[in-house]
Amino acid sequence: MHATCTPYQVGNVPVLGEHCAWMESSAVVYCNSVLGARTNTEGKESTGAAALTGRIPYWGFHLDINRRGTHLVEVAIPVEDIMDWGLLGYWLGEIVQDEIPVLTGALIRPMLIKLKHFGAAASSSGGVEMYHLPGTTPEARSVEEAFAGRPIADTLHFGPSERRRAYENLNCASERKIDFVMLGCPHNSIEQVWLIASLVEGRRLNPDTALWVHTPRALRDTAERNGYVRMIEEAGGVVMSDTCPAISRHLPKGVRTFATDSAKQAHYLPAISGVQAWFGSVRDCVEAAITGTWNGRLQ
Amino acid sequence: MSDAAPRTIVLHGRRVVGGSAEGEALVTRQTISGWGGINERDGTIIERRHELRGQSF
Repeated sequence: MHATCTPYQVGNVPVLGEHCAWMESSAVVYCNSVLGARTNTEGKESTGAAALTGRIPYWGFHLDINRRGTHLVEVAIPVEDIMDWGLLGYWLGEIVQDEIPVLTGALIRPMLIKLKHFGAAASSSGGVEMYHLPGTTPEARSVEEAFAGRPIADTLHFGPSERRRAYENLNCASERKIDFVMLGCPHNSIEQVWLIASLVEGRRLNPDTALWVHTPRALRDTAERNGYVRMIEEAGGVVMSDTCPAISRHLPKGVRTFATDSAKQAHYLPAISGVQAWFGSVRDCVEAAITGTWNGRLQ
Repeated sequence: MSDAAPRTIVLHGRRVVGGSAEGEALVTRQTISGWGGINERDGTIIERRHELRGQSF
């Protein structure tokens, strides 16, 4: 049994066309878009019932006709690093809500961790359950195939001002003193844990700043065997599995301001826990954990 | 809605429990996130940039 928002990182990897009953929004959008498996955003009751019966109602994203694109998105500025995929997703979700965007333009071919962040951001600011990246995602070899004859409802443009708007909407903090740094929403891949470990290696975190790194249990085991957990712990950080502050509703004591590389966590934690958020790159966040001060900015 | 004359909107749905009720409608054009957008203890909308933030339904 897993307890992770990223089951597709630890062995639960459905194939193209497979019918699923998933609940976690960032996993749902990954399942539909990147894997080409089929799920609606289920609730606790319906996923439980599906687990017992092996069945789920045949509607919504289980049907071909509902998987076609609705909006064309022209990306005019290069989107390459994780932070930019997060900003693109956060801007896009708020506009398209639960429609199906088809993205074209200056997208540098992404890998798992970037699509993980992009989908999580788009399903936080909006309710995006599926998107197409023609040439990358399996149900759209071309823009034409992504829309499959459905009329384009709207064409959107992502440029420098849209990127800045997303950044400013995410960064709601006024105070630069950082009490807490949270990395791993959705749960970190092993490469991400390694990156954090290599950035803190041989350094000490600010004593008044907590660093929590979240990853699935199986990847924490791998990180431990590889020495990454020890590197993070020796710097003063903590590596956790199977949870996060948004789900557990638990933060280090007395946190007022936190920093994260996750658009999703920067979106939800201020609402859920009343804390102020800074959003930035992994490097911005690790520097904040070491200095206790936020110095990130939009490059 | 407060500056306009009250108007009637009929909502059709599937009945789960019988009976009738009436009350003032809390209206928004913005979506509300069921997870992370509502304080489930007091029914308050908590989404940080929502136009109904702080209001309870």
